[in-house]
Amino acid sequence: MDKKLLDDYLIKLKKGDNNAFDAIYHLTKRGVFSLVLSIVKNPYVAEDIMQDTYLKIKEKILYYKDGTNGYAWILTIARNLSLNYLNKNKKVDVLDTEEHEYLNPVTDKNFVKDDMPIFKIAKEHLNDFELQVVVLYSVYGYKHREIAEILNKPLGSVLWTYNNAIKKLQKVLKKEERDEA
Amino acid sequence: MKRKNILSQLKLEMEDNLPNNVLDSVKNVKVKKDLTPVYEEINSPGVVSLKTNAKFITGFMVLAVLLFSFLLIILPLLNKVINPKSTIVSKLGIDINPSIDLMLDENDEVVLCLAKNKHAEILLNGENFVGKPVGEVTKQIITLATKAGYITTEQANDDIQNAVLITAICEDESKQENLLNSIKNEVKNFYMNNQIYGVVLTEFSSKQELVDLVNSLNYDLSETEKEELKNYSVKKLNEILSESYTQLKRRFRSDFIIEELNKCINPIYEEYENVKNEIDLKLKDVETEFANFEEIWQQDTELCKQKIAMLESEIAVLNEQIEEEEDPIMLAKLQIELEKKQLFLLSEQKELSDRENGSAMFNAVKNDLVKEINKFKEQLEQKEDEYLQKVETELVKVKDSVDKLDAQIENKKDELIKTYEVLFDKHLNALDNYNDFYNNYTNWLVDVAPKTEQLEKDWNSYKEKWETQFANYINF
Repeated sequence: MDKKLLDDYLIKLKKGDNNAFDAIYHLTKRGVFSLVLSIVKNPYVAEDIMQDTYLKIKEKILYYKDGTNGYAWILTIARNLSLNYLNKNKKVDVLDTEEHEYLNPVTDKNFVKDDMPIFKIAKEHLNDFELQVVVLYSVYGYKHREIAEILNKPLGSVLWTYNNAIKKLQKVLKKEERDEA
Repeated sequence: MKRKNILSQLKLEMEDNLPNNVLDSVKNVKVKKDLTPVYEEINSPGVVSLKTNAKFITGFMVLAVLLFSFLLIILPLLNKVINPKSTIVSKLGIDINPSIDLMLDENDEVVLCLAKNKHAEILLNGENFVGKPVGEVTKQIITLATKAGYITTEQANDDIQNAVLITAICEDESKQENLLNSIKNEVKNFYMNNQIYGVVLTEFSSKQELVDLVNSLNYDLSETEKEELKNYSVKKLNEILSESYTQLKRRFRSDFIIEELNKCINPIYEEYENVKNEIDLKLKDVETEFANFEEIWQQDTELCKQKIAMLESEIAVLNEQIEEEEDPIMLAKLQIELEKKQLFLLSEQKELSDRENGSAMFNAVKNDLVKEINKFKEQLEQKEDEYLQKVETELVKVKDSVDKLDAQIENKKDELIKTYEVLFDKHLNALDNYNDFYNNYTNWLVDVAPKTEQLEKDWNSYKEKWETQFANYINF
């Protein structure tokens, strides 16, 4: 992961070079999507928040301090927007379940696409923090130290959580394989 | 499923579901750039918004007002108890051969005691004068100096034996004089009580001396700041002086070394810990695999057998289809498919026979795992060596910086002593010059007196002569 490269592009965007935005998007899209998805757990909502994140980056680019950790800055924006969504959605949920009997895939928290079996299992059996750690580690290849920085947790907790989460997943998958057999 | 497989599968799922149209929808949107801090604008769940709860705000404000009034009454009282350190208002210098500066508060109690040379450092070693009245401290210092032999109890040979020079700097001039006189009396009484023959000299110091002293201790001051020092009050200058000296002492102590070590070694240790943890995790994975190796081997062998059975049944079906097929193109396709299946079957059969008959493959795979385990262990050892090497390099650097600082402090001390010596010499020289001038002037007056007398006499005789001539002329 080239932090220097991302920093260069962010500086260019700050100076008004809109082509740099494409590069920033391609460098960070996987990390942003995986983090947002691990928080909101719905791919449709994750897509919307991803859009908001990149709009926010454009809007707040003047506030980016040159030479700092660009990845952490972008992921913090994504994380905060996701948490905001969850906060607002808590209130909406109560109304939705009272007034509508059917569930919309866009607003349904439990909705998972069929082509994401592992994510589905991870979502069901891991807690929020475990899910975020596993997704950030596997998809974006973040180091544990970087994950600790992004999620604002001690390194020891991240290592411990990651190990536990993987063991949990292995156990569940083994059980499913045995059941299928 | 192995750890690696779970992670790669999850990654694949995420990649497949990564939205494609986000960039297009965002790229051309015109956004007004602003400088509102992004973290302030976004409300994270950990941040409680006060604006949303009016009752809370009212309650909070009432509490705040009550607390503020309570603090207003209690704080001044508490301050005396908790923070007895008072403000420095005057400085008293005692110069025997050891040179000592005492910083005093408004009650003439010692706030800080500065040893200005090595003799003073040795003399004051282990003494604590803070909070004691200046008279008592002066007496103690003179007693210490007597014990150390700087002041002798023997019969004086000349006037300047056992001389003590006392200087004082104070905002209020009358207080300065009073302070000097009282200390002078204290020393005199001490001399009398202990039958010591000596002289006590008192001197008013100039503000410039204090400014120079502050300058010499704060060598990182800019030219403008140095200029500004002249406009500060003596009280303020004394405060800066005591602060700079405390800083210098603190930096000199081991705190500095510990701070430096933490600064240099912590990042290296953190980096090492991360690498170590990552390798440890990988090592654990391989070790688990090695521990379950025989079970996995058996499972794989069973899988191989199942695959062979499946391939054989598929080949049988294909043979039947070939026999029945009349279309030559389809026939050719089926034959190609059959050949492929037969090749797969052969390779699976070979693997099975290897697994069942020979232990060579079993051992080879097992050896690979052992090799991998050893590789990770070697990596761990190598990283540990690297870490220790880095720590050693950093320790050398810290030692260098401590040595450098020691040298700087020594230089400053020498400079300080030199400055004081120069200032004192200047003062004595000025006195000598004045005496020379006075003597020369008096001598000149003595030399010039007969000439003046003669001039007066001449003038009177000329005047008389002229008056006589004038009278004669009129009479004529």
